[in-house]
Amino acid sequence: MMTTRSGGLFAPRLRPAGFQALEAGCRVAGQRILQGVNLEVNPGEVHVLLGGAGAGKSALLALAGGRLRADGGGLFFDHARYRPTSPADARAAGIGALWQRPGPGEAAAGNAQRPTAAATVALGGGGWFRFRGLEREAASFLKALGWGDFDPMAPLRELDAFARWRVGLARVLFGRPRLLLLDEPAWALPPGERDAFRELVGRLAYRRLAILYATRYLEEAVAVGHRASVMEGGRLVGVTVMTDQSPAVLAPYLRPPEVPGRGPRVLRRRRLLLTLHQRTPEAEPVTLTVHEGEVFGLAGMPGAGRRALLRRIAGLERGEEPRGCWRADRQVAVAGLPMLFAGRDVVENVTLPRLGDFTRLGFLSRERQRMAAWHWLSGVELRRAGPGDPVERLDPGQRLKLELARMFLCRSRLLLFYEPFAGLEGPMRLWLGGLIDAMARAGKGMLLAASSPGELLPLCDTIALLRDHRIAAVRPAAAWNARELLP
Amino acid sequence: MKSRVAPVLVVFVLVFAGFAALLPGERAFLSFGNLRLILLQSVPLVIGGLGMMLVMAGRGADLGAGSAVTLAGALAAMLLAAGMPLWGVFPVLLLGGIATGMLNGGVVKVAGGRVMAVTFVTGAVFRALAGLLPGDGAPPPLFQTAMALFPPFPWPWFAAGIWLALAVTLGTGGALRYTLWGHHLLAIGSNEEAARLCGVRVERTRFYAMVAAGMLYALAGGLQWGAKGSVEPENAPWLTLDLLAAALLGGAVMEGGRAPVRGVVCGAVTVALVRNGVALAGGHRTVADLSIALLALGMLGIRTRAKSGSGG
Repeated sequence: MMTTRSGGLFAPRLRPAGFQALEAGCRVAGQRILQGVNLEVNPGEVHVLLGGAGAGKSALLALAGGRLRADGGGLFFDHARYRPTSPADARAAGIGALWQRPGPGEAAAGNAQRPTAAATVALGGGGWFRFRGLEREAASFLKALGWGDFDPMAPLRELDAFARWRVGLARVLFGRPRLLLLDEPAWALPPGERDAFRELVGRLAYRRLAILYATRYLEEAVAVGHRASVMEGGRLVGVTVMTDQSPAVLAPYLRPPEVPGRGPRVLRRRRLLLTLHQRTPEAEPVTLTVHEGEVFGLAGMPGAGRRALLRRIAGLERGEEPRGCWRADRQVAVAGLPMLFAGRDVVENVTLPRLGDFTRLGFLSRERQRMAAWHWLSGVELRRAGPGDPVERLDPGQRLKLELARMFLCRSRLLLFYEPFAGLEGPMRLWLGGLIDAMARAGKGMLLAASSPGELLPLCDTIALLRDHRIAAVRPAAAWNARELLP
Repeated sequence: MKSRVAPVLVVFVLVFAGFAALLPGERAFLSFGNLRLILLQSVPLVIGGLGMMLVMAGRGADLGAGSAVTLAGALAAMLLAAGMPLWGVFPVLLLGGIATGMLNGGVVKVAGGRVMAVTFVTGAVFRALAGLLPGDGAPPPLFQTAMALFPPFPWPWFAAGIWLALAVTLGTGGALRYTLWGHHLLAIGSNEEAARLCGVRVERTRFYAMVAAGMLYALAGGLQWGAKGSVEPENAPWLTLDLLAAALLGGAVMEGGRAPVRGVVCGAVTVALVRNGVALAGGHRTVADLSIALLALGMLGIRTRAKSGSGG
């Protein structure tokens, strides 16, 4: 007799299994992003990974999900050594994952071969020989999940973003994983749906699934977690069982980053640097402007469109998103996006925008290039790195300093920052906050995209909140409170 | 830099030692004449391999390189057969190389940077053209002298071709190290978006790289015809394999951002070593093709593994 997935809805495929990481470490492009992580997730447990941007939560999930390879310590799954070399290995072992990027909706929409929702979900079942049967089973699985508000046999492209997200999640669950990895799963959900999702997570745990849940929000961790591990700078700094006292215990670890507040800025002349008009049928018309000496904040969760907006302003991306038209100062410099030249040394990375200044009769003077790089690197206090070091050896703070040095060398008037505080330690945060303020006083216009209100409110003059690749609201910073800027 | 050259040096030593052990005797592999012949056979591979490296530095690979080299050889043969004076042939060859490079670069620009797809197609066109040109006829004495095993005075010890390859190597290395274009090309291969943001004219820089590569292919084609005395368009894909293998062995990567000039020279000599050794052992040409392909694949695997090992 065939057992359907909708019958034993969330029962794992095989016996429940636990996951352990022992002294696990990992490097990406020569950069250590995880070090000495010890963690255990038991069957039926929702283990929350807490930490700010760049703390290493996603990296740990990527290690468990086969997207990254451990270079130290070991991983164990179901009491056996577990060495995934690809996400396919993880799936085969019984590990399902919902990634932050690409999100479940994007992953589902990328499935052009199987155009219906049910067929997309059926792919998670891993069968090819009885695909029609699996498709019918997937359709009933979607209904059993309580998501009957869209037709399972409808083409995927006709579904809205939230329905596609659910299809992506259903595909993972349809494979009946034994360990579920959830990377900031709730950010893409409409606020009204988050409680239903948390309830679903609880039901999955009740069915003996082990769940590793990464989030940066304490309230979410308290709502779903049985245990919480706090991460910082690629290390695990503490573990606690969730009790009534947990919020008080965990809050100090997750306090907003210290960023110096800005003082009064006096500008003699405020030249307009950027104008963005948003005129869409779905949203109110909005005009966004950035002047000299202004720090303009872009708030919103990952995937809200902040990155796309910055890339588009920098001229790196063409496309429909974000909708609207814009006009920017031609000289734009970006920090925070992966904008370094891998394999090239520090000198080369800093001086590339103005290499022409160091040539004579068409030939480059390495000496002049080195002298200029030294000057600008001193300006950002990049002391520990040697000029000949490849950029792969630099830590996140040093990389950011290098990007800043390049920004100064570019002499751009409009500077774009994408999550510049991610992965930075306390003193470095203070230094960067002070630098942004000083640059604003010197007349630079800045767009600062950050997902933490604690990074935006002290520094920005104006803040725009982005949702679903649209500007939802623009107000002076003083008119926002931190809670409004959280999704 | 050292670490990029080291693997190809190890391969070179292993291959050399292997053939030396397999083919002993004064008159065989280790004979002075044969070693000099290997150097001579490497000349077109070094020059063409450096062209391939320039294309790869900006991301991608030139899948029509062998055809461009063959076309240059056919062009040289045709011009001399038509009675063109010798002093005029090399400039025309270089102009032809510039034209093929401009065609490649122009189409790549229109095709949005798809180097491999474009060069695969244009390579087929070049190969067809080489087949149409009358490529027969013995090269004149100057061509032969340029690639002669025992060249007469004023080329003691080594033929002009070897000195030319040395000059091209130094020129290419210098251009990459000391000119704006070289730095921009490597920046494009390393991070195209960042390069664009730094004001690098990506399309133009890549276009110049393809033109430079076209010139090097033309030079390699002329010298190869001088050495062989015939043009074989049907062998163009295998020549592409040789050039690609030389670049890959030397440490160039299709992801771009690397231009290991010394490594590519070592890679080209290694490829010539394999061809020479297999021929000397009486092996069929396909054995050499297979060995070169396996060496290139092995090196690709080692470098990918080393990269993932250090990069996670």
